Amino acid sequence: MIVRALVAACAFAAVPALANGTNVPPPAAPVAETETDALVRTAFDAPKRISYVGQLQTIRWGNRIANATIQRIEHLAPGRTRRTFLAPEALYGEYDVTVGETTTKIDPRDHRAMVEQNPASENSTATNTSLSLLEANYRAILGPVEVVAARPATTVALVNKYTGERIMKLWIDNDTKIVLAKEAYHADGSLAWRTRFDDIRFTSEIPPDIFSLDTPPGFQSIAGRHFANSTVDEGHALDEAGFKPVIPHYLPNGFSEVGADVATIRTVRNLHVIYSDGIRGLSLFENDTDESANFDGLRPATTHFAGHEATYVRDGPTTLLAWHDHGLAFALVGDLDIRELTQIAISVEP
Amino acid sequence: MHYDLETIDDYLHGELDEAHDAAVHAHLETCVPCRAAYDENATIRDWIRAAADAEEREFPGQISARVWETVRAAKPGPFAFLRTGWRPLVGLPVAAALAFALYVGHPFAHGGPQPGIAASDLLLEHDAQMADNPLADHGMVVPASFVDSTQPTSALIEAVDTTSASDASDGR
Repeated sequence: MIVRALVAACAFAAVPALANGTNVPPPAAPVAETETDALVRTAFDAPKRISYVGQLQTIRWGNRIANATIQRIEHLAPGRTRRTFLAPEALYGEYDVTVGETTTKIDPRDHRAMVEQNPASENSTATNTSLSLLEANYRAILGPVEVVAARPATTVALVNKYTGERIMKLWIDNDTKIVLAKEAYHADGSLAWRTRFDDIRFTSEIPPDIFSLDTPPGFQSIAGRHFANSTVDEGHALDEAGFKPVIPHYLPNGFSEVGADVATIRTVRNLHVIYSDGIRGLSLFENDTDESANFDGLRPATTHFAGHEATYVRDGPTTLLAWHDHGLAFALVGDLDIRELTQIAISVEP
Repeated sequence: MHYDLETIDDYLHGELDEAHDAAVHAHLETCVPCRAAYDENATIRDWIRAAADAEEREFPGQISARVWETVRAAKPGPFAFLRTGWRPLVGLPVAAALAFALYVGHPFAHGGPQPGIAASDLLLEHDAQMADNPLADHGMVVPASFVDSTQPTSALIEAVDTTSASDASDGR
């Protein structure tokens, strides 16, 4: 532990020197691990202060295939972002603009615009909760400086304190603290998803007009989704459900409830309880229709636990497990593998 | 005695009965020409499989789900069918396509649309609630072009905002 702390301290102290391109050895001052936490905390908030224009690559790995996108991103701090898809070809030219809770998605080929509302995208309380959970459940370990998008970036591994597994690695820009790249890993160490800037330029001189949420003239306006506003008042959401809800007795170490809501999805009223460990999210959906989730267009598989037949599917790094029991339909969705989801499902006992 | 190519091909694809399969298996152990023919066929089969695997592509789950949603919603008009049906070259494929569309789109063909909530909606709802965490996976993409514009949004998701009631109950 002492050795690791010293290594981390030296690496952290070396960052400014490397960033300036000098060979001066860093002073051997002891740096507590909390400084790495502070770096991550600063990176959390950096987009609220820093504007940029860049090209971002995302890859999500599933069981057999990977999905990739390339997006040009214009971000004007604190809260205006425009993403234009460059790849895959089917999405080329489409873009979306997010300001606060509202996102307008533009399809230039079919001249359509869709407006979505998502309160979660502007929920600073929830963001702080995520940060607190991150610090409680993960050890931030400083790594060497690496170059991303031609800029020196400090690497930070986020290691789960309970399992010792590295769940995420960040590349944080030395000057601005913007996260230039992220990699998330499954429990077995395999890569789950990755985002990485191929190119980035920090500037606040971005024409504000490009962040307009208005439907362009001549475009058909389609009402998009209005996602639920989750609340930390679980009791109230449980009361709103309209049936006697059930919650799991078991959660993986570090996971806590961070919100709950009741949403009507395709005419079915659902209780949605949200859990997180600071990086990974978990959702429990339940309703009293006794109707199974349908998996049209997906590739589901069947599993069995505690006398139940359940169906599950993976969408990139996310797994969905659905079953029903005692007249209630359940679905767990999370950045966890099927083994972990099954353990949670077993503990959901009506 | 040598087996013909058809028999060797059937053996390769496991289509012979048990006794015949055993006989060909034993023969291939000792007959060089038949073994060569078998190996050649096996190589061709592997090439075809490799080519098929190389060509295999898959939409992201969300997009695939939307495509199916649109297919289910398709209601080909009877006149369009008749008009197209006059053309012999396209009549057969159109009939096949229409039969498929009716199978997946007509409520009486196979018990109607699949009941329950679409799994893709649950994935989206989960993804949306993770938006407040900068470290969460935000790679799920559902662009405007993949949303069926004929479907009223209220049928997709209506959120019940519990915040105001929550404010009232806890005095915030």
